Amino acid sequence: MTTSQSLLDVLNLKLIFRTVEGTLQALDDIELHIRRGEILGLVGETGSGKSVTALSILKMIPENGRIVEGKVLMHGNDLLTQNDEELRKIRGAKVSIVFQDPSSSLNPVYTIRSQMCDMLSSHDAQVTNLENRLDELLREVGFQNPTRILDSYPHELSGGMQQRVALAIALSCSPELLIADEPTTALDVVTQAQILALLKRIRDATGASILLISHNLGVVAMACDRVAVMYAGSIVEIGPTDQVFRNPAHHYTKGLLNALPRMAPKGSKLPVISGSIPSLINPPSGCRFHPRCPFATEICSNERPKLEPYRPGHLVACYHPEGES
Amino acid sequence: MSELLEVINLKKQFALRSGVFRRTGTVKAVDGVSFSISPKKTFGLAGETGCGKTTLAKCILRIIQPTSGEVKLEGKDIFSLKGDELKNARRNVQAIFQNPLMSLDPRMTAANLISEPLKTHHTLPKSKMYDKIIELMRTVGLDEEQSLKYPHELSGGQNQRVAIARALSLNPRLILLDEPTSSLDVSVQAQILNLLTEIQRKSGIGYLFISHDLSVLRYFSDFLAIMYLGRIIELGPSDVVFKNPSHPYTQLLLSSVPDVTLTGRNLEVKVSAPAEMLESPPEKGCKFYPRCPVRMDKCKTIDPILYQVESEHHAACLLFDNRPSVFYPTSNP
Repeated sequence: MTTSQSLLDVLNLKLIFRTVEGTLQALDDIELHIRRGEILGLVGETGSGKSVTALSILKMIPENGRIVEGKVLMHGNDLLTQNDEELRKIRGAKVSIVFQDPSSSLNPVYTIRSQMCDMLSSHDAQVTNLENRLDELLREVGFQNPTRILDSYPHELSGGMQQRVALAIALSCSPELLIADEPTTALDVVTQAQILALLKRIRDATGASILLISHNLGVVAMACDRVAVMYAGSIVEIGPTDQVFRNPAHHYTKGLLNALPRMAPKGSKLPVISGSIPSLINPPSGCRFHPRCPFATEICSNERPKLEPYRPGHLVACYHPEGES
Repeated sequence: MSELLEVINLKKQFALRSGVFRRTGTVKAVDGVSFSISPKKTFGLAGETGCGKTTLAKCILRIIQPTSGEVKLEGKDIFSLKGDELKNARRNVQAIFQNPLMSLDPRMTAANLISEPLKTHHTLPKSKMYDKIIELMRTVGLDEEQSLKYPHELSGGQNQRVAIARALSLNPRLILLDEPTSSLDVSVQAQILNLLTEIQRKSGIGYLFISHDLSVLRYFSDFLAIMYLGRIIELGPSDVVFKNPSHPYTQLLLSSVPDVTLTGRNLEVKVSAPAEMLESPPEKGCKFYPRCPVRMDKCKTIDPILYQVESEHHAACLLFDNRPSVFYPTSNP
């Protein structure tokens, strides 16, 4: 369902990777609607498909990957059917990405100034006064002294400062969607809180939507309006952040929250999710979580549950969601 | 003394050089750290990148020689040990690191990795080796069939279990855990933390748990020290420190910890640190001064030592300079 308020719609996305061991079903029927001006969190464990979902939006999947089905609609256009030239105009301009490790996404041999100019010139941005624009962008991401930053090389800046610069570059063409793939994972907690606050401020100031990918539930809770939980290549639950975290409907989400050591008294046993993440070459039939789920019944192993409304605005893909018998 | 490990006024400085052998200054990576760990207890050490946590760990393992200070293992200074005594001390202190894929030799099978310390220390006749390996693997929750697998064939959690089995093989008294769960997923982290708790309960090993994840430390440690730029700035029983964080830095750190209950909370108020970290800490006075939200004039000139906040709870902040000070705090006075 495409609503008028959504900026980007991912519909029935299916992605496979060809590997030596066989075909890996990386994404299975992903449906995601990113609303205008929202911060949507995408959370899941290693290998659940968070990053490839983001990369598929911009058709930046690795060579052995293939999108077999699905659409990514933005302004009525399917991004997946566009050619490289058209995509080049979208990438960085309408949809931009910030990655986990800023020291590897910035070029070590160029100054910050030249890297920022690079982005502006490659998208033919209409800038009347370049110096002013650079100054403004760096101030927007929280630098007090932009001139000094512009003349620096990446190695002269701390990790947090580098990530701010990466954000400034991503914002330079006023994108409508900013994808932030684990933007704070390489940073300390204090810096992390600052970057998360910055993302919120950017959203408030520019009205851009942000897709925030993280494996850290706390990060998502602090920054996001809505959250989608991924497990083994599919979205199992999506809804307003406080609802999902306070009353998780899917047993996987619940298991994850329980496994956090935050509330557990010292020395007590942490509840764990039994079993381990399935291989995506031979994924379990039906619900991919059923072999690990304490509430699984026969239907769970036969049929794949679809995302169904659970509470207003809160969807879950489960035959036996929490609170229903 | 009944302490398992005592660290007394430990300092490690690194020379900064530019050009060819030209000394331009020193970095005080560890700057006068003192603490002690009791047997069967977990001592947590927290702090940001570059605060000296790992340098401190390396000194305790005697991988690097400190500039000054003492590290005593069961009363013996480890830096004066030689020969067999040193070998024994090495056996008694083991370490587990953040990324098992990097700390385990990719060309050795799980069984080889686990038995390597046993072979080095000749503690076991060859005939009993296999049984010991299987016993260790069971202890850490690995199947016998995984013994012939290489690290790349195992998952991150399984590799970390191999690293734990390897550390346990020599029945150490103290295990140094340097961010042991940082590279693992939440559900696997819970499994590893459960395993470590279980091991401590059964064998009474002491842990030095280094982490930047405060929620893990709150759950796991008995005693907690917060480091900032080479110093311990707050120290106390873990639950007391979390309940009553006294140093402004600890307060900043705790308020920045992401938590699933903090949905929709306004972040701006909590983050008071300046956006740009300083290139060099101040020469004089409190090192936290430039970032401190409650700094006073005297903080610019006086370098705070640890003052007693409560009986076992200490903070290096001039807010408490009317309290008694301690040079060498212990965890059981």
